[in-house]
Formats: sequence, C-alpha cells, structure tokens
Amino acid sequence: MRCQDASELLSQQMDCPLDESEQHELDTHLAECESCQHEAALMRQADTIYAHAKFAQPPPDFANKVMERIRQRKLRRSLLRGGLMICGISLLIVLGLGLLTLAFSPLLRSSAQYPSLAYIINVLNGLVSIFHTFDYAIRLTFTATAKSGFPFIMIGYLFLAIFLIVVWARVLLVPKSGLSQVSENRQE
Amino acid sequence: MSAELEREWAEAAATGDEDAYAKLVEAYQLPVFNLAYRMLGNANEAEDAAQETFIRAYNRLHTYDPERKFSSWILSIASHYCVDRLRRRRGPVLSMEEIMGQRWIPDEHPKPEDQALQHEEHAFVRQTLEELPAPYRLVIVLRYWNDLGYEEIAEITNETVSAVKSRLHRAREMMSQHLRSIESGTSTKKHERRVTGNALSRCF
Repeated sequence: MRCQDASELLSQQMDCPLDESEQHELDTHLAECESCQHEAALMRQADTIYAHAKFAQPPPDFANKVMERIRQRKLRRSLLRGGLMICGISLLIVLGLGLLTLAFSPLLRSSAQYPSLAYIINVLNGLVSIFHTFDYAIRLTFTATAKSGFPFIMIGYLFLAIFLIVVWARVLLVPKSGLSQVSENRQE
Repeated sequence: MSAELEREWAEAAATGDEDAYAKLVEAYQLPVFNLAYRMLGNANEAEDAAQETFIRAYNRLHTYDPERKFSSWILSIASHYCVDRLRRRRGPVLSMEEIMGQRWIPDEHPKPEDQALQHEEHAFVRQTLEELPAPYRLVIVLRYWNDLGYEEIAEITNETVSAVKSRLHRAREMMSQHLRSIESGTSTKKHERRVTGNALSRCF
C-alpha cells in the first residue's frame, strides 16, 4: 500500500467504519510506516478538535429580521405591480376618451330634437372635454416627437410617465403600510 | 424535528402563511447561520448571508419537493449562496479594524478551566477554515457541524460522492499540514504558534 492510499483510508475512517480488508491493510501499513503514523496522529488530532467545535449562534432577533425583510420585499413587489396597473388603466382611459370625443360630435347634432338625451350627452361631453385637453397635450407631444424622427423619445416619455406614477404610488402608499407593519410587530 | 411537521409548515408557507415560515426559520437558523459564519468567517456578513438564504428559500418555496429533507434543501441554498459570495469577493475584504472589531461568537458558557483550551481550538478551527479553498471548506462544515454523510453532502453541493470523499481527504491533509507547521515552528505568525501550540500540548 502506498502512503497516499493509506492517507485516503485514514480520512475515510473518520467518516464511516472501513470494511475488514481495508482496515487490515491500513493497520499493516501504519505498523511499518513511521511517517504515516505521524500523519495519522495529526489528522486524528484535527478531527477531534473539529468534532468538538460548537455551532456559531445567530443573534436572538434573527427570525424576526428575516420575516421583516420578506415583508418589505413583498410590499415593494406589490407596489411595482400596482404602479404598472395604474399606468395601464390611465392609458386605456386616455385612449377611450379620445375615441369618445370623436364619436360624440355627430351624435349630439342628431339628438337635438330630444332635449333630455341632449342634456345627458352634453354633460358627458363636458366631462370629455376636460380630458380632451389632456388628450390634446399628449397628442401634441406624440406628433412632435414622432415628426422629429426619433420614436425613441416617445418610448422615453412613456417610461418617464411610468416612473412618475410608480414614484407617486410609493410616496402615497409606503408610509401608511410601513406604519401598520411596525404596530403589528409590536403586538407580536 | 419531525419530517411531517416540517412538511406541513413548508406547505403552509408556500401558500403565503408567514407564521409557518417563521417557524421554519426558527428551526433552521442555527445550522444556516453557522454554515454562513464558517464559510465567510465574519459574523456580520454571515448574518446577512443567512437572512438572504431564508429570503431566497421563501421565494422558491414552490420548487421545494416535500419528499426531500427541508434541512438539505435550505443548506443547499445557503451553500451555493456563500460560495457565490466568496467568488465575488475581490482581494482581501477584511481590514485590520474589521477583524479586531468583529463580533466574537461565544460558546455556550464553558467552564473556566476549559475556556483557554476552547479558545485555542476555536483559533485552530478559524485558521484552518480560512486556509481552505471554498469548496473544501464547505464539505468540512457540512461534515463536522451538520454531521452529514457523503451522499447528503454530495446532494447539497451538487458534486459526486467520490469528489466529496477526495475533498474531505484533501482538506484533512491541509489541516494536518497546518498542525505540522506549528509543531516544527515554521509558522510565520507568532501569535498563531503560541495559541495553537498550547492547544497541541493539552491535546496530547
């Protein structure tokens, strides 16, 4: 048996009992090889020290801190999702109102003979005209950027809008839910 | 802890039950924190790494196979995270102030006569772990503190059983080399020689 093999068996012996033939081979080698005897003594010494090593203790509030961080990340993710949702909805509203504005003008003309209907449509049209201003502003921006030959700017505007809405949602929502979390923890 | 209870908690946690997950964290904080501490060698970093491990596990609970031991699963996440973290380290991370100011992790109330010996053994463990490359350090930690066999270590570290066996062997060779260098007084660090030398004389 080579010394290297003996060393391997020595290590293995510390993890699980060797089978009989391996044990015998190792013992015979150790009996006649002085340098391996020394190596075995050192390895066993290291093994004993390691076997008695204690666990490092985590700080006492460890679990609470983990749960706190999990809650924070959950909140952050739901805010991001909420922000995206708000973006989508506002986009839909703007588009929808834009279409309605186009549809209402001919409708108003033909409904002049029914005053009550005309009244309702007038109110709706009034509401629409408020949004129409926004719509106009947005359309102006879009045409201006589109004409400048840089569609990227348009995408940039879109991202800016999304960013602003996310920031807004954060400012509005975070302090409130943050407070409720703290009080929850105190109760625990 | 019973495997059944563990499975129950893991399943409840996967459906969003935070209290159930808190129980799992309580149950496994010791082995996970210890692994991070032994791997990274610094209590503050270990705490952050252990927290990150539990957060990652929480986000991946849907991938947890209840047939598997939860301990193996969480230790595997912790191992990969710590090895990654060590790989990302560039150059010496710890300044002297950091080493001096490090939180010393106390053992549970040792008897006064044992204290000095324990301190020396503690130093030996620290130094040898520090000398070992990360993959070797990992198998040693799993073997000695978590008391795992070759198969389980192989499963956790994504290695073959023979690779685990040879890493343990190599690591032990390095440790005995360390002891030999102390014995022959070739160690360059005076302090190290004194501390571990005393440990040696007491052990024999």
